[in-house]
Amino acid sequence: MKKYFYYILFILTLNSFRVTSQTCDLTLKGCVTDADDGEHLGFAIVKLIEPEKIIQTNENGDFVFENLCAGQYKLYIQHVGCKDTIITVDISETKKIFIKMPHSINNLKEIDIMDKRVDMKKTQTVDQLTPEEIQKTKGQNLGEILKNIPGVTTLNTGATISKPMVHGMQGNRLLILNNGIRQEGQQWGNEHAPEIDPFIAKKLSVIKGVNALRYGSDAIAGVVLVEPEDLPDTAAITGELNLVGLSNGQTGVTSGILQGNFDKIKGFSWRLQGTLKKGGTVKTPNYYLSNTGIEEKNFSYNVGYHRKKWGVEMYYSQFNTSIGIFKGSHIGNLTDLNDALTRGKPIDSLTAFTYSVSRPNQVIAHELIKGISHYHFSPKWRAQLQYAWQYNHRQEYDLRRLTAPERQSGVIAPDMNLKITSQTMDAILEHDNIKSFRGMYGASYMHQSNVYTGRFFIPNYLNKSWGVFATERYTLHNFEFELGARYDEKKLQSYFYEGKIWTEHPRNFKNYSFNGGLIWKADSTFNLFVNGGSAWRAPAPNELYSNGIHQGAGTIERGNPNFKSETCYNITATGIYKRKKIMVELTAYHNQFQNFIYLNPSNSLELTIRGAFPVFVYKQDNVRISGLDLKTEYSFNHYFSFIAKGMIVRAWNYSIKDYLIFMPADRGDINLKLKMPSYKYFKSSYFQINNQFVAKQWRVPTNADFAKPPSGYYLLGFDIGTTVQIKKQKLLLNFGATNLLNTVYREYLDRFRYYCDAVGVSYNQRITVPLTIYDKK
Amino acid sequence: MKKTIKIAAFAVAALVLTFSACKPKKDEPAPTPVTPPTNEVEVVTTLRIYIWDSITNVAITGSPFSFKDSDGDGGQVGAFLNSGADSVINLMANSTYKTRVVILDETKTPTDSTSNVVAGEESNEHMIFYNGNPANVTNTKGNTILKNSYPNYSVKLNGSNIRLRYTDTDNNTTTPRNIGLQTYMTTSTATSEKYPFIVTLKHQPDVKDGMYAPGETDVEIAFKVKVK
Repeated sequence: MKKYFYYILFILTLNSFRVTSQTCDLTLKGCVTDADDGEHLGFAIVKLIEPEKIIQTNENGDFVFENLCAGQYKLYIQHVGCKDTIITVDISETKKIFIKMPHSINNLKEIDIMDKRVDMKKTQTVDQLTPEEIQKTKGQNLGEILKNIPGVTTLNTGATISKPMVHGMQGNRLLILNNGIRQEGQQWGNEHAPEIDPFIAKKLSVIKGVNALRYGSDAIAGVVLVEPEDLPDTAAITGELNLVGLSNGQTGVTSGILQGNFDKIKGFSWRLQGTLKKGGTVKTPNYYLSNTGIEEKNFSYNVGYHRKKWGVEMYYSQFNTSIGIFKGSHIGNLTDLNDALTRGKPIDSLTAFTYSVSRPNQVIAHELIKGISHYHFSPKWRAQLQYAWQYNHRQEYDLRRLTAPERQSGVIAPDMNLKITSQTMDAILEHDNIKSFRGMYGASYMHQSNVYTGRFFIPNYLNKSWGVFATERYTLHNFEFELGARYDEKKLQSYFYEGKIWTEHPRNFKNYSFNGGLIWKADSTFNLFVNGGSAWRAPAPNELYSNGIHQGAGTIERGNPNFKSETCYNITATGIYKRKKIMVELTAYHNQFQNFIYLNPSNSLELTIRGAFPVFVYKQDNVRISGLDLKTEYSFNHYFSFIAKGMIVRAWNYSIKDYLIFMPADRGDINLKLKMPSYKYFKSSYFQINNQFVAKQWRVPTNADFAKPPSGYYLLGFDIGTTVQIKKQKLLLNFGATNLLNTVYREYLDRFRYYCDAVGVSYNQRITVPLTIYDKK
Repeated sequence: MKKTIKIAAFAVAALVLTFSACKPKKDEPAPTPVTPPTNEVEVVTTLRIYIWDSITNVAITGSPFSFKDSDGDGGQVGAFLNSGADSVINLMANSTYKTRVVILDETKTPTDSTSNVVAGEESNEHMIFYNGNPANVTNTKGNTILKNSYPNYSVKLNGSNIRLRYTDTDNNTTTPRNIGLQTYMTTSTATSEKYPFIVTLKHQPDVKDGMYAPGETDVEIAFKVKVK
């Protein structure tokens, strides 16, 4: 069987086969091993240069090149965890060689950290923000930063509240992993942004498509990964200081990290991080928006201890914010709403600038503690245990008069007061290749309790969910196949008043999910990723039990306690074509939903003492959401390049035979970059100009919205960056503008579009100072 | 040696997990019954308008006209009393009347009068408007302001041509204004159909200027009026 394997391989890499009149039937056999421990390295890439042939070693590290002519050849070998190696071989006869790969610098000699996960590239599309994209957007909230990934947009409540949206889906359909832990707060709310400080992350990425297998329910649109850097393993104390100033809102952000590793205690490392943010009234091109200030105070720390075969880490983070909500968006009743829609701009158009936050506003505190440990049973088997405790306290203050007791005592209770505590436990067992199979098995459990005080909007509830999954990956030549299945159960017990009686409402949900995928590495220029599977989502407490006025939105919302789970069948394919000057990445996806839950206008009004309110009712329909994401890069020459991105979403509601409401409009952006040559202390300088265009979203259902979607718009921006290097100290400087032309526009997926324009120009400066306080080297 | 490391690894892991679990918890919530809101928040449940003939001092048929919403602006719907009949006010042509608006919180025992507060200590923060929304103005809807200043702020309701003159005063000593809980109403010709009669209480702390726009709507009841 092995023999045929090599022949097939040979045929596949036939492209640049050259025949000469000489004896060209020589064979070069080889074996790739690890220079340090002699382990045979399977799936290493061995590339023959002239003629170009690329093959992979089998699981024993063996490879073969056949039908070679006599002569000298260069071999280029790559393997994860090792330094790329080039060797020269003289072939005058069939021979066998042994290639020893040294460990890469990241792996310490003294402490042989086997922390590396099983090397499984996902069959799903993973898009990661480049370090430059992160540098350009530092200081903004998570949703705004992620927008740089094609396919990702945001659902906004003004400029300060952004919920990331992947392929038109957000909230309970998009899982956000905060340093590996499911972010659990009140994510069902359209005005509830994720309580995560983007500064904790070194890596921000999005996995697109259903990921229910690995992460459980809710990961329908995909998963947002917010990942800090691995704890340092070299004895040194390093850090980074970031200073950001944004002119619109006169916002200042300071963030710092300090991390180190004690050389006295081998393997013990730590990190300290904190962020402070303060912003004031934002300005649209023609007027200020009163009460749009924001304040944030976050910090986190991380300690870890790693030895050769096992490691343990503990992480703690705290996120605190107070966000002002634009007064003009706070709607009392239908009369107010009609007034606001007719007026089209705030009453008090000439509000002056202020940093203070007053009513209506949101105050949120989010705390996370995580403990994680891993153990390598053998070079091929690894186990991981993770526990996390999360606490989210959300207080919302409505626009209303203070009562006499409140004014007298000074004690003011929030109008909505929700506390949710979630404990999650995960166990994973994974194995590296055994007869070309690599796999992962896992179990998880979540225990969650939610409590409200004051006015009812969502009930008290206890949520106990557990799940088990298994997945295996098989490698065959340049294909990888993956197949997995998962089973979940969720027990939801809700408690609330019906009239004067405290009632209990139990609901149980069970579901299977499956997932399959493949990667095809056709050659070094083209890779194809295909992934398909199913996912499900239990209805959220607000979808089941909300019943009353949605304060500030001017609507009455009613849930349906009998909703079934939502199920989704998805297929996502990504093709990446890469050559020296050009790169094209195209993703196509299709989601078929049954029982998709959404809020639908009922076209009826209800009278209350405050006036008439339009009634919105949650519905379950069969829908489909499909689309395309595109990213392409082209380098004209060493200095001049461009990046273009685009996305389209096509969503249809079969049950009402009309478009699905609130889906993002077609959009794209073009970025032209000019790299400037180094000059004295200024290195890596560049100038960038970008233009974003968003079409008018005309694909909307009839009679389902307060106002028609706004027109399309263009936004121009620029960015200049440089790295100043004085002796050993670096300084990264960045200056740019967003909405440079102060364009007046409104975005369809911004709730404020009913009441006011979007924000105008902002001049932004960013300074990053990498610090090295102590370095043993 | 291997076994010791294995045990040590999990021991440390267990320690970390236990330590995390024992972290002092703030206010550990549990889904036990919530003490129902003690209604410290002022809830308005009822608006009544009393109308009587200004000469004979006899109340007109159907007075007082009431709207009641038992949980304030909560999930339950409100309604006009008398099986909805209270939504229509019938007046005689070419007559004069006096009106008085009463606003109550009937969730409290005894019933709390919000209108007393509106007329008294918070009168400089409130004003009542009749068909007052300027966005609504047409020949048959909204109102036309006849006199925009204190004393005797006056409006004419479009469509029904009913005039209202405000007769009460707020407690602002520097620039007093009318409130609108009490008015003197004059009707003119008969109307062939019903026209809007919308009573709106606006809360305008620090922004009361005699205009409808500033502040928030606390109460808004849409009656209909017919002049015979």
